Amino acid sequence: MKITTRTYATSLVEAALSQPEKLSEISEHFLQILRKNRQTKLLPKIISELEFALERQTDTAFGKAVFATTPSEQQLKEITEIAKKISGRAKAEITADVDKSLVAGFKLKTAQINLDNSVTGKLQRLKGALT
Amino acid sequence: MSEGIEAIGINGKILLAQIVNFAILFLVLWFFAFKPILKMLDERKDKIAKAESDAQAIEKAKAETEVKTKAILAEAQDQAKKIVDDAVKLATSQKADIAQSAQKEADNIKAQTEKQLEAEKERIIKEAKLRLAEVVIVATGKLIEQTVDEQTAKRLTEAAVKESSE
Repeated sequence: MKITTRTYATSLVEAALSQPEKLSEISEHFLQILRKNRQTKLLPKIISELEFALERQTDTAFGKAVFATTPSEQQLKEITEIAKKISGRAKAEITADVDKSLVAGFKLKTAQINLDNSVTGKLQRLKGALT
Repeated sequence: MSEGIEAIGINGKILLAQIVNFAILFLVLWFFAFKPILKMLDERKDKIAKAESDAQAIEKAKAETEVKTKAILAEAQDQAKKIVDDAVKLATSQKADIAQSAQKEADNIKAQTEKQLEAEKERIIKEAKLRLAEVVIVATGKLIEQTVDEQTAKRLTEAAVKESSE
């Protein structure tokens, strides 16, 4: 049976979540399995899939929000709700950062979400529409 | 009778001898002169007749040759005319083909040039639009940066969060 990148990522996340203290041993063992199956070339795709697998396993959206100004608590809560709503996960863990070059607005990035509601993002979209 | 001849002054013996001589001479001439001459004349006559016959045959052959020559010349003229006609037809046909080919090539070059010009025009317009958009975006961005202060930025950010929540 062919093992897909999704299966590899899901298995790795399951193992890591069940025994977080043995993460380095699990990772080493995982790499040995990949070498044995001659599938080390799948590693980049597996790493990309890990984020999704982690979200599936924990039913949590992990991501980062970048704001143009320092966000208030209310805004952070709202962003977390936005992440849960869009990704369809029960929970969301979003870290916050500030980037003044956005001018105004924010950007949200998770495994499933790539939302740009900043002024610079809107200008870039306008540029794309004009060209 | 000899007396009578003698009476007129002719000696019979002498006459007889002359007759005999004449006969002998006649016989000699007959056998050694007249007969060969006659034979020679007959041969010459035959030769002349043969020559005439040959001449007639030659004349006939000449006439036939002339007829044949005329026929061959006529045929050669016909063939030459046909060759010339064919060459003219071929040249005309090739001329038309060459003209058609040249026209086709000219059309192709024209179409290709028009296509290239159209592509170049599109590229220039696209590039101009891109440059214009860049200028507009940069100018707008600068303007927004200058006009949006901290409070406005906070208000706009809050509005953006609210907008995404809905």
